[in-house]
Amino acid sequence: MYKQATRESVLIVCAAVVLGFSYTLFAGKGFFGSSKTTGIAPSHGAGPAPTPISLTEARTLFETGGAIFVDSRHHFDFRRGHIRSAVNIPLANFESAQKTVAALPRDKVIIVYCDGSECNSSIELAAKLYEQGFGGVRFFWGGWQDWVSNKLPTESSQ
Amino acid sequence: MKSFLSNEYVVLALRLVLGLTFLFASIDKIADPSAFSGAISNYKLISGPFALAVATVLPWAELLCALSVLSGLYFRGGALLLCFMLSLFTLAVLSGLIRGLDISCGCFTLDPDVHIIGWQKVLENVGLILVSVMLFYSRSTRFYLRVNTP
Repeated sequence: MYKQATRESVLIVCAAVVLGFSYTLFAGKGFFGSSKTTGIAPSHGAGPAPTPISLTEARTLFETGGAIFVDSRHHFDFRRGHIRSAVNIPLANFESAQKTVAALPRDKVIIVYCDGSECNSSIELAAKLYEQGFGGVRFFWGGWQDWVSNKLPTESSQ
Repeated sequence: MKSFLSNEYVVLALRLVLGLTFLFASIDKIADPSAFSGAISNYKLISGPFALAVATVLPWAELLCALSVLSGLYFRGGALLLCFMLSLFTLAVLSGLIRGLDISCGCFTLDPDVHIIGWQKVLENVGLILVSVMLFYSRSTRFYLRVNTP
């Protein structure tokens, strides 16, 4: 009974691997979905579409006060630590955070970041802000991890 | 216990509970593997391409297991695999709770503000593990598409 059940389990796992990868391949999702390197296509006249920003450029804007940083991570991660003076707008809470969105300055560059190169919420939030008419939106791919590893100013809310 | 696990209606109820639970749990995740990969990464146990690979395969394994226990085809294999997966899920939730993570479970919906992990989730999982173990040792094969004798 145990051997047969183990064989059946292995068969189910193999079928799941084949189905999972076949489905994502044909549906263009997951591994085969659009990557963040595709950027955001301009959709209206609010200004240039969001583009990536390097750490050096982000740092310069931070030091000169020419940018506001928007953290797209979950509240929990934000409370544990974030770029100093950053505003938290978790991607999932975008609709309910319209007051915070409306308060964002339109005369400054808005730099959106998430955890690091493995997350997509920064680029998605940047796209949403752009669609709401914010023209100077950039996304910082290195994100929180890059900022911390370069020992740049941070703060926590705990 | 033997007579309990031989009762055809008890076994049918166990199959429905386990099968329907995982059937519904798999749908959202299959539809959006990238979002599910994010939910997995939130546990901070695995990340990147490995999390995406797990997010690609895991929901399909859940779906196939659900179909196997509902239909009776390879139901012991399905029950065994569900028991294994549930044990891993429980360990992941426990590890998240111990580390104080305030994250969504990623179990039934990928909405980050729904089903935040907690001890209730651990109890639910333990209950489902018991159901899968009982189903594995069940003796009734009524209402099955194919009789799978032990």
